[in-house]
Amino acid sequence: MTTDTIAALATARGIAALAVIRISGPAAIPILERHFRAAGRRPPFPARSAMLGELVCGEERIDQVVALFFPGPHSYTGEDLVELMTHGGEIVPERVLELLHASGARPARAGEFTQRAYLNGKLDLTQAEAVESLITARSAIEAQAALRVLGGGLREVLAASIDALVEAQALLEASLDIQEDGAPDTLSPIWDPARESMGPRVGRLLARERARLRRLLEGARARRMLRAGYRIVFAGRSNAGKSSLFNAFLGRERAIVSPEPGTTRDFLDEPLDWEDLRIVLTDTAGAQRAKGAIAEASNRRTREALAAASLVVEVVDVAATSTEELAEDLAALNRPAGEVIVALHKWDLGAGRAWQAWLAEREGQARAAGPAGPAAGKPRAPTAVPSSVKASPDVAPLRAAIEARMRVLGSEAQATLIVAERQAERITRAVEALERAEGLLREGAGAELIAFETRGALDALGELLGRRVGHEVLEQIFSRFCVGK
Amino acid sequence: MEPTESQSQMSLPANCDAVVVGGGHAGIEAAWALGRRGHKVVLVTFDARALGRMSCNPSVGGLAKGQLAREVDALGGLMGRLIDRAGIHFRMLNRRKGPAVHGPRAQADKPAYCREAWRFLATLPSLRVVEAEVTEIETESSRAGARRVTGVRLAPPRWSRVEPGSAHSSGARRPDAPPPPGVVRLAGAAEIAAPRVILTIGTFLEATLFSGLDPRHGGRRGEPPAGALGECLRGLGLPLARLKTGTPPRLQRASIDFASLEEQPGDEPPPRFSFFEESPVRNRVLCYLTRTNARTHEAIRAGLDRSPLFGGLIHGVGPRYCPSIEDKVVRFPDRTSHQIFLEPEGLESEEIYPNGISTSLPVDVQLAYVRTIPGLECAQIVHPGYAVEYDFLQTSGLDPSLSVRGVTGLYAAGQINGTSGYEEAAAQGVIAGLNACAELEGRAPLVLRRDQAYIGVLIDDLITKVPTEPYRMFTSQSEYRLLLRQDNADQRLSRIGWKRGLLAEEDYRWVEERWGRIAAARRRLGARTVTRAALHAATSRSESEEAQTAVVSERDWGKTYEELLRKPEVTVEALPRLGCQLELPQGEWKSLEADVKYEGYIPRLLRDIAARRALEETVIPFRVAEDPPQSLSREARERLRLHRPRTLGQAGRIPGVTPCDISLLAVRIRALRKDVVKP
Repeated sequence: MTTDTIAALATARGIAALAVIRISGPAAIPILERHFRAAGRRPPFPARSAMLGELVCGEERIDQVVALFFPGPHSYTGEDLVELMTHGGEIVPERVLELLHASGARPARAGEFTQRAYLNGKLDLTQAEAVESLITARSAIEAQAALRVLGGGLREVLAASIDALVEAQALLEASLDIQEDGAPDTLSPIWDPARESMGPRVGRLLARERARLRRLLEGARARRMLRAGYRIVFAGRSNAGKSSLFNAFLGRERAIVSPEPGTTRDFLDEPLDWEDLRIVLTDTAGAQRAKGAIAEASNRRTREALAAASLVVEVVDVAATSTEELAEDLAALNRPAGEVIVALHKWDLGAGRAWQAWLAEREGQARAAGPAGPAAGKPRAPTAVPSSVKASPDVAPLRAAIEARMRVLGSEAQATLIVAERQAERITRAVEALERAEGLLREGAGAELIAFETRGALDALGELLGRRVGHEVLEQIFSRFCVGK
Repeated sequence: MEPTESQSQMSLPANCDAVVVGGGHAGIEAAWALGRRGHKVVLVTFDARALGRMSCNPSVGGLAKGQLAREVDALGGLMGRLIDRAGIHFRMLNRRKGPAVHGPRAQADKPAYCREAWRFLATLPSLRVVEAEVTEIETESSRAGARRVTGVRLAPPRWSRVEPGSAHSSGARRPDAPPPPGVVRLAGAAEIAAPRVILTIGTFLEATLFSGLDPRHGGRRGEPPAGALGECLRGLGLPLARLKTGTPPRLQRASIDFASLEEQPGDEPPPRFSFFEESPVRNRVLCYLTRTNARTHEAIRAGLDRSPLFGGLIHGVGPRYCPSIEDKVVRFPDRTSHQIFLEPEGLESEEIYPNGISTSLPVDVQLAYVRTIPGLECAQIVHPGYAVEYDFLQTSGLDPSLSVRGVTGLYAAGQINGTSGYEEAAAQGVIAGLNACAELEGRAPLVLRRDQAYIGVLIDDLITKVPTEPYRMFTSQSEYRLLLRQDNADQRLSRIGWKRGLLAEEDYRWVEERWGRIAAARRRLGARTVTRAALHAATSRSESEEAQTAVVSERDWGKTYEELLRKPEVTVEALPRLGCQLELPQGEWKSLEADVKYEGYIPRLLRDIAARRALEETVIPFRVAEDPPQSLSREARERLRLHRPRTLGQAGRIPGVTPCDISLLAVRIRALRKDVVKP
């Protein structure tokens, strides 16, 4: 590669024992040979072995450093790469950088080492994004996911999907550029149509890849929730006891509690740590029937909080609400069952027979469905837990239910291979295109329309890997079809 | 080679505006465009009776190729009009699939096609046809290393090179017949001064013919190769590479037992190619189908040791989509049979073209395997099949206008650019011709976009990817296939053809009227709703006609007829039965249907095109193409320097240039623009 040479600090600035400075490019070795005096060693320097020595500028000593030399192409960037471990702090690394920049290495732009790794084929785009995700990870879960993508995990899945879709595309394209009744100058299929006809084969490929890509997206949602902060929102009717539960959960009197309906007008956010995940608890105002500017604003704020929620704790006052009313409220929430927990509040005060029966039935169903967990599939109904406040402020069952949900989410996020929004966006686009393609196939629409959609899906996936897949389709056609006059 | 009295009276012009080298499908289109614009043009060919000769299969069109032929016609080119007049068997391929992939195809009476080509060209007062060989393109240095065309040097064609009595010269004869009136037959070396030269020399460059292990020089059967020109092109620094193509043995019609074979009739009514012709087209012959069998394949395998293809004699790469029969037998050993179409070469012709068994095996092997095929048991070979290996111009050196970079005034079109097929050649011929006109007239070159025409796709593919096999058009090569239908080529291109002065004004007016009618009919469809009575009539009748049951149901009541037609299973032909008269000539029904069926996709395609337009319209400045940013990968930089793409869009289609390279290029170009603005 005949490019310029870049140098930059690889570690954070500030007081520290050590700092690492990286130099990449054709001048890396000349610079090292000019300014590095290795103890007991002369150039040429050995590859990948730690050398203690002094960094000098003419006769002036800049620092005592350990230098490592990675010859290209077997280096991170694919170019000649030198890593200098200097002393840390405000002064020394800056002086070293000054020296390097004066010797012909220019300051690197943000992400430029990784960009070079990508350009030199050391990383694909998904891996480059994983590097970014890894160094900005806010939880161990996120870091683990990023590490798997860095190892090529996402690329493998996408490459498999692309291969399958290229096959589907080739079948569709071939059916268009082949005359079925065998006109001359066209292609003729080599596979045996009696064994497998094109339509079902394409249909199976599309369904399989759509499902595979959709699974990728599930984890992406969990990841996004955890990264943005997991928001648990207490919702429910006015005076249901949301604020009491909220306080009990926090273990202190954060929200003002009164027997009057509508005490809480605004929503309250409180951060909470659970393992290493960032959680925000939100207490909202119940739906206000009263008219007026305050009531309207209050309702709007509640809607906003709900829109941002990762999990809704629907608090219901069993003494004041019927099971039918709860069903209505849940329908109005309109959220997947896995994102709602029903807190049957003031259970100790007023759970009538109707509620007892309702809960018993729920628990029976839950037992029949087997243990909760990521393998258990999606819950069909929200988990419901009784809680009491007045007699003994016991929120342990609710806490256990929330933690169970968090564990599911955590494991989903951990299993995800999507570490950047761009990835989720492209995969969503591909999934939508595949869904449309399947719909067209079912309707019996023309192959040219189905091919239009699958091509859209392939383009979206190709962009993820920074790869164009158009010509691969033609290659497939030629390898699978005896084409000819 | 004594010129007769009348021929010597025709004088060779000393100069002209443009010389077209070659009279094949690219050459005649280029000459037509230049002549129609009134430019003084000289067409140089070995044999004036071979203008527009079909040297391989006797047909025009096919899937994607049909679209190309229609586009040539829509621009005002010759191909559609010629095949409508010379056609003897017309079909619309892929009729059972969506309208975007319908492709017209016609069998031609080969001699009639040449005659028609001559008739059209003879109407051009500013065209002179010269029988000669171009031995050199004369150039002079212009500024800084660039060269400029000044004319051509001519010699009489070297017919003597074709050895009499050899297999390939069986049809070879010096054209002893006098040339057509008005044609100059060159007797000695000469020169013509011209500022523009269009190269359309097909497979004639350094061409070698193979039938068995005995290669001969020759451009095609019976004609010598173009010898000296290759050296001249190399001398101009133009990179050449090698390709191969082939043709099957021609069979004697009387020796074939057609009675035992499956007939393939043309479509009724026969679909015509030209949007503008009124003359009737008629199916006048039948084609026949037969198949190879295990014994055929055995005979072929037995001859493989004498195959120039497998014996390593042929180095050029052949088309994978059109392999020779020996190639098919070797590559797909599981297949026990391949289809063969027996196509007449003309109404009067005694030759049959067996489509599907092109070959370069020795003549005795050809005869042996041909006679294993049903119907061909007693077949006589009139001309053996052969492979031709030839040089082509590496298209990385072409501009989208089809001018050759570094030699001002030089254009190249057709097989010389690595394509295969008459339609691909004609398409390039029109563009090269129109762009030579544009240069002469000081207008901007005509560059069709990928979303505008298959011609645009073809040329863009050529300049961004040097062919590694003869390039054939496929519909899958177009990402905007749904827009580029064979039936709307006139809507897409006729305005351009008219503006460029190739298509007659009245022809263009006709296109406007036609699409005006279709749009009006469509508005009526959108305004009328399906009545209960119409539905009832249709569904009650369908009790007997099961096929209709699925088409409409009670639920369609109240829909507009446009919505009804949008359903995949409803065809435009069904509308009258459903109570909607179209008030549109029947020939235009399918265009209406296609417009309605694809309507939902058009906005998305247009969005996609608009999104790409920024890239397609960002011109890469000369200094950036010359010296791409160092941050690009090495491969990308090499490719950019080689291809010199004009826009970022083109750059992005060059293999080895990644989307990331394109972003980096875009950044550099933006930075340069800012530099310009600052001071």
